[in-house]
Amino acid sequence: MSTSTLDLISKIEVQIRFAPEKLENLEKIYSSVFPEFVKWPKGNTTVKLHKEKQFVCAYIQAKSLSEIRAALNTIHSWLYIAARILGENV
Amino acid sequence: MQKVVFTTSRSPSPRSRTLLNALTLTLPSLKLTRGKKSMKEILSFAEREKALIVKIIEKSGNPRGFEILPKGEFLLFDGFSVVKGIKKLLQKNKVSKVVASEKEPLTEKAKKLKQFFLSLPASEGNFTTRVEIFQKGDREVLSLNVKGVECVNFYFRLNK
Repeated sequence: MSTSTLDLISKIEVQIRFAPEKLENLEKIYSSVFPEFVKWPKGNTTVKLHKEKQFVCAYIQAKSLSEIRAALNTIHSWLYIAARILGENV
Repeated sequence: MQKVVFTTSRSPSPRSRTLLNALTLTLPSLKLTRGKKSMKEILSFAEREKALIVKIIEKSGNPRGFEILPKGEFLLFDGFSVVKGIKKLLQKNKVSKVVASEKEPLTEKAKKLKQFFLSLPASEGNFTTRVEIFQKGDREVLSLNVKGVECVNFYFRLNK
């Protein structure tokens, strides 16, 4: 998190990682969540999805905490649904 | 193989949650906690994975049926009861498949529900659920039995 003045936040960066129980589900979760990112970005938020070892990672960049919160909620929903439908124990 | 995922509406009633938990334990299916997820999101994933979403529908706080998505088919019942201690009975084991007794239900609603339960795809697990049909007073009962215990009973009014 970087601030231009003491109380004004100019940029927030967050990265969330999700590790599936079964490694073979990693590719499936990544490919099923990825099409949702075509509709992104919304407003000032930037979201990038990538794979890293056994994790599916989502990198979020926004200008306010509320935008980060909204993005986190949506990404969590996507990952949760994909994992649950594939039979993961989330 | 087509997977079956049970879910509820947003902010479900406690009875709907009880039924959801009991069904996902006694049938070879998956549970999706709804939270704030939109139906659009769920269905777009389900379409990609070719999964069936079964939503519990309710009337005045009481579960009254299932909506099968994306088909849009409805399966209704007039009442239900769930036995306590299903988790303890199964001891973290799963149900692999559903079998049924030869007795055919009298009501159309029960027939449809029985067919749906029998159409569920088999999965990994140690137990088998048996669908039993019997009459109790003026109602027909469709029961899901695991290890001889009537775990979930669905009631249907008999029109005489």
